Amino acid sequence: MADVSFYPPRAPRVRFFRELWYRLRRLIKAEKVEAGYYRIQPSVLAFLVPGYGFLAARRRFYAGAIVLGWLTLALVFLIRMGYPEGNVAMGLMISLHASSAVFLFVRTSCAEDLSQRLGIALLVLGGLMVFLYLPLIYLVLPRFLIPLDYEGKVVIVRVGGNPAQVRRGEWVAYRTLGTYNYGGIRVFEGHGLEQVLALPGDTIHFHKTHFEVGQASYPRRPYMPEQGEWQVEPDCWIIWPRLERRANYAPNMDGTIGVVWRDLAHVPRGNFIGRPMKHWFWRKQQLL
Amino acid sequence: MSRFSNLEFSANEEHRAAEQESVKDEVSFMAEAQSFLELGEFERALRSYSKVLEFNPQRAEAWTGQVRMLIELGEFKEAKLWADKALERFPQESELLAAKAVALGRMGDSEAALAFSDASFEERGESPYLWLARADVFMARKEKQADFCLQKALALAANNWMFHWLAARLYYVYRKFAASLKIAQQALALDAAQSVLWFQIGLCQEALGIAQSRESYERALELNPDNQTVRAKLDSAATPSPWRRFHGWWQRKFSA
Repeated sequence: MADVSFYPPRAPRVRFFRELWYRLRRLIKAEKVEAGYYRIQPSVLAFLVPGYGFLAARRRFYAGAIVLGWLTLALVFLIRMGYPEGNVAMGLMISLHASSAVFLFVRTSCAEDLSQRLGIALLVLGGLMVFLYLPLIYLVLPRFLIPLDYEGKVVIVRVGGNPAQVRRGEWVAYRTLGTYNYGGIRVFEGHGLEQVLALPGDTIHFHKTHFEVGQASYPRRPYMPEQGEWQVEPDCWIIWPRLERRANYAPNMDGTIGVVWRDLAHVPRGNFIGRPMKHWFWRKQQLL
Repeated sequence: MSRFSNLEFSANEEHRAAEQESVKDEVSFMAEAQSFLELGEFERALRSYSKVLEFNPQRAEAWTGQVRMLIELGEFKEAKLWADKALERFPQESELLAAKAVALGRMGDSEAALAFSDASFEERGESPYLWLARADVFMARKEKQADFCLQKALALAANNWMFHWLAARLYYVYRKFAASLKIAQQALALDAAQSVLWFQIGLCQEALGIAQSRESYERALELNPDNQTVRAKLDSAATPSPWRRFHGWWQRKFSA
């Protein structure tokens, strides 16, 4: 019998990423991309893909470091979304992306003058901000997630869902549309994150110390009526808003503020944005 | 000999197994590899092909068998490496060229894969495996000729359940579950006593959301009670896999 081993080399047990890579290669026909078949300009790729500028210049180590750093920062941005650390992470992501793109553009343009290089850097940075990151933050991300401030904490809201399935007492994020002018009071448009107190068709009974919806009783909220009852209109919820006073508050305007508050408490179901997530990564999002 | 020696059952059995191993030759290891392949036990088949080569490194079918087993185990990079090594010895071996084409195709190098598949046909007529490999390459390239090649392979092996099963596996790899199910059922008509066919049908049914998948797995286990993969599939239906648990956890944590 021969001494040589005829047993082939084996793959690592966990090869999930390898399989993913092969699948991706088949999907995008990577071979043709590598052979330059599609003729995507490196400058376009450098603008779109962080780290590609270094890769196109055959600086694989720097390209890898940029991609790794960018992905880490993206994770930090997601975890701390809405907090200052999240904003810092986003800023650093843009910087990393811009530095790799600028590296390629400066090399290909053969700019020797410092002012030319600075000009290229500013143009790339501005372009990235305007065409990529700002649309991403303000147009794409809010279609899925919105971070909302709730008593000093950031609560991540998942956008979407069926407003008809909202139950009484459930927390919802909603949009306050338009600007209201009530004499000297102005309420700015924005987002609210509150509990739905009553559903369409419910009746709310107000008392001096509490209010009742169906069989349940709750403590009275600021500026709630002290007596009477409301019949909730169809396609509308009662959500008692939490408003922040900004300036020029006069004590004799309490009556008007009460009227504003009551008006804002009628929230059309169409203004529904979504529900707060119970957890965001390991952070428990407790609202009460 | 000790008068108690016959009572030491386990030691005796081990000794007997070792003796049997030494009695086996190239031909019996080759037959063993084939039977492991038919049971869907690719890892063991790979080891048997290695044993064949220890006896006779000039058995091109054993080299090809190893490359094919590595492909079935999803180890494409290793399959390509091993095919290169084998091709140094047998540069004209058509099934080896075809197996390398499959490995390249699965890795996303579709141009090179097609070139190797072409070369495999230039060497020696046609065999069901050559057409099957060509179908694999075309499927990786998302080209319509794949179906024609597969039909050609099945026409050449019309009464061979194993090629039907391999074709069903091929469709399954490329996520064409309905086509895979159809061919696996055709294979079942040829030989309903094959556990791997029932398992393949179960996999397709599960992928298509057909409720009978559990019954198919049970039938597969009935025919081959030692098949750990089928057992694991049945268990996973009862106890969710880590991925399913993670998915459930994700849903619970991040659902509103």
